Amino acid sequence: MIARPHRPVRLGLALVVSLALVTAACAGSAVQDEEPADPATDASAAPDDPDADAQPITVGLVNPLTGPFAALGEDVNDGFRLYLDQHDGMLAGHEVVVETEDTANDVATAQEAVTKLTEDGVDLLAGFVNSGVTYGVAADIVDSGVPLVITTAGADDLTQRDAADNIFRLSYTSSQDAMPLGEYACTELGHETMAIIGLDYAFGWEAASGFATAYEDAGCDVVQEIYAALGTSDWAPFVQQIDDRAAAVWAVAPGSDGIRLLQAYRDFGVSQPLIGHGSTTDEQILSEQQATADGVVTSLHYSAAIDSDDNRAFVTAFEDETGRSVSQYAEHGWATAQVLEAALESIDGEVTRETLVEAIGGVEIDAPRGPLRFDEYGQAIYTVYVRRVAEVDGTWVNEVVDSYPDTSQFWTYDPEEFMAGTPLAELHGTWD
Amino acid sequence: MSSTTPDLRRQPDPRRQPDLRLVALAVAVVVALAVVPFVASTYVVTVVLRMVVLGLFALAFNVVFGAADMPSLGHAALFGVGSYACGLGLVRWGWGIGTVVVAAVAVGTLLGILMGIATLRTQGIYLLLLTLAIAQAVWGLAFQQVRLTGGDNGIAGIDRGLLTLGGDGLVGFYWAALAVVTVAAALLYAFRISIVGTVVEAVGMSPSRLRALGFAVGSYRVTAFAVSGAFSALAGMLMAMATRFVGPENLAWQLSAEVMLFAILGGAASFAGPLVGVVLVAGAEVVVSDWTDRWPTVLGLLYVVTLLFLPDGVVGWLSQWRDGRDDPDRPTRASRVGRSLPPAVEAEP
Repeated sequence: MIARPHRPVRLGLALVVSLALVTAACAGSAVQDEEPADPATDASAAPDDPDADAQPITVGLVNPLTGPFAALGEDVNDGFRLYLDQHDGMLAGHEVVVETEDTANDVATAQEAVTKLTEDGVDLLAGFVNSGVTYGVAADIVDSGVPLVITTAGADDLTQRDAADNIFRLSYTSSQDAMPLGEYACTELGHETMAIIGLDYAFGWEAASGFATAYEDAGCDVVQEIYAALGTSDWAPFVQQIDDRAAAVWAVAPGSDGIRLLQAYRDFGVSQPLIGHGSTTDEQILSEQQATADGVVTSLHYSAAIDSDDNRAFVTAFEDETGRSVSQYAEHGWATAQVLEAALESIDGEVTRETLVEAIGGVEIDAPRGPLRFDEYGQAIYTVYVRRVAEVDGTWVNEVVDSYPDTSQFWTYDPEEFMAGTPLAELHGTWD
Repeated sequence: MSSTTPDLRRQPDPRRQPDLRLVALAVAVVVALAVVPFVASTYVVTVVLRMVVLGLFALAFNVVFGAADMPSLGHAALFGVGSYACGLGLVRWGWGIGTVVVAAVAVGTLLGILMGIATLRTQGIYLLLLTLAIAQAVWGLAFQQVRLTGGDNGIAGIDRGLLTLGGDGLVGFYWAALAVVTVAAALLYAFRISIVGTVVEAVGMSPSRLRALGFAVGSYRVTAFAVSGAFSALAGMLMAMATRFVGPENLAWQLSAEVMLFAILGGAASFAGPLVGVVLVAGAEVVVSDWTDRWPTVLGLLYVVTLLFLPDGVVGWLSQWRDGRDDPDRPTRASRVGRSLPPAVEAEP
C-alpha cells in the first residue's frame, strides 16, 4: 500500500488537519485557563510604577505541574508567589516578573522549558523535583550561565561530584537530613540495631545509606535492608519481613507510599519503634496518616511546627492564601524568594547572570526553617530538626524535639574524603 | 496475474516502485527542515529536533506495527538500548562516535531479533503483553544497575559535539541528526518497497495465506523486528545526544505507548503516516501546554476523539475522503485486524 498515488496530496492535507486539531484543542482549553486564577503567568501582579532605575528581574519557575509530583511543584510555586505578593511584586527595589513552565516530569519537556526561558532572558531559574530531570537539564543551564536554585530534587551529586558554579540548592540532598538522625538514633534514642525499609530508587538509597553511614559510625549496627518499588500498593509482604533482631526500624517512603507503609506497619502490629526520613511524615501526607504516624521520630530541615516568628508568619500567610497546610516544598518556594531578595540587595550596579550567581553564593537569610546559607558547592547549610509526630489540638504535627544547627551536606565528614568514597546510592544493600 | 503463486521478482508490482511524489515531498520537507535554524529561535530548533528524532523512531516502529501488523508495546526497549549504548559508550567507556553508532545499531538489531523470536507464536494482545514484559525487564535492568547506568538519575554529560555538521553546538548537531534521519528514512523506505519488505507487509495482512503459499512467515516477522530494532536504536542514540542525557524514561513503557499513538493517529497503513502523527502529537503538546496547565486532559480528549472518529489515522481518513467514502472494497485497518483478505486481492479472478 505504500506506493499508492496521490500520497503527497494526502500528506499535505494531513498537515492542515493537524493544525486544525491543534487549534481546536486550544479553543477548548481557554475555558480551563480561566478557572485557576494564576497570578504568576501575568506580570500585572506587579505595581504599575516600578522604581525608575532598578531593572526588572524575571524569574522562571520550572516545576512539574502535571503528573505524580504536581502537588510538590504547586507548593513551591505558591510559596514563591506568596512571598512576592506580600512584597507587592517588588524585591529589593526590583520589579519581579514570574514565568512558570511545566516540566511534566520529563527530560525533553524540561529542556524545552529551560531553552524557552533562557531565550526569554530570565535572570533566575528555580524549581525541579525529579533528580533525573534535573541532571538532564543541568548541561543546558551550566551553558547558559543563568543561576538555578533547585527547590526539591535531592540527588547528592548535583551539589557534590557534579557541582557547578551557577547551580544552588536550598532543599536537601538525599542524605543531608538523614545523617543527623543516624547519630541521634544511636546515641540519644539508644536503638543499637536497626532495620531499614525504604523505596527502591536513588533517593531512597542515598537517604538510607546516609542514615546508615552516620548510624554505624556512631557505633550501632544496621541488621537489615528492605526496599520496595515506588508506588507499592501493598506493603504487607515487606513489613512482615522485618527482623526481630532490629531494635527499631528506619523508614524512607515519601508520598502515598508513606501512607500505605505506615498503615501496613500498624495493621501487622510491628512492635519496634518507627523512625525515618522526614519526607515519610511530610505535612502533605500527615493529614492522611493521622494516628498511624503517632510517635514516629523523623529528621528534616523543616517542620510546620517550628516555633519562630518567621515560621509563624509564613504558615499563617500560606494557609490563609491557599487553604492548604504548609509543607517543606512551600517553604522552599518562599525561601527562594528570600534568597533572591537578599542577593539583589547585595548587588551594587547592574544585575547580570554573573553578579547574581556571585551574590546568591554569599547570601545568608533567616528562612522559616531558620538560618540558611550556601556552602562552596552551592548546597544549603541549615538546621536539621528531629521531630516527633503528635496530635496537637486535633491536628497531627511534626513536633520539634531536637535540632542540629548548621548541618552541611557532608555532615561531620571532610568534603574531599566524602566525595572520594563510594557514592551512597551504590552502597544500598551493603549495610546488613 | 493469473497465477496464484507469486513470483515477486518477475512481476512489475506498483507496490515495489518508489512513489516519486512522496520522494519529491520528502526532499521539500528535508530542505524546509534544514533552513529552520536560520529562521527560528533555539527553542524552535529544540522542538523540531525532538520531532525529527521521534519521526525516525515512529517510522522504524511502523515496520513492525503498520507493515507486519504486530502491535508491539516494547519498542521503548529497542529505542532505549540505543540511548544507553550512546550514554555508556561515550561517557563511561570513552568510545568514539563511530563505535557508538555501530554498537547502538547492533544492540538494537540483536534485541529486535530476540523480541521477534520470543513473540513468534503470539498475535494481537498476547504479542503486546509479551513485548511489554521484555521491555520492562530491560527497563528494570537500567533502573537497578546503578553503578553502570546511574539508576533513575541517568547518565548526563553526553557530548553532542561529536556528531556535527556545518555548525556549532545545537545547530551543528541538528543538521547532523537531520542528515542521519534522512538517510535512515530513505533506507527504511527502500526496505519497505523491497521484496522482503513487501512480503513482511503481506505477512501482516494474512499470515495464514502466506504460510499456505510456502513463505517462512516466522523469519519475516523476525526480520521486521530486526530492521525495526536497528533503526529504533539509531533514533534512541540520536535522542540521547539531542538531550545530552539518558535515563530510564528512554526505556519506559510510556514511550512505547507514545510511538504507537504516533502511528495510529497519523495512519499506520501508509509509510509516512507516523510522521504526521509525530507532528500532531509533539506539536500539540508544545502548543496546548502553552495555553493551559491542564494540557494532558486536552490532549487525552483529542486522542479519544481521533481514535473514535478516525480509526485509520489522519492519513487514512484523508485518503478515504479523497477516494470517496462509499468504496466498500477499500481496505481499512479494522478489516486487516479482523484478518479478512485485502479486497483488492480477493477481487482478482
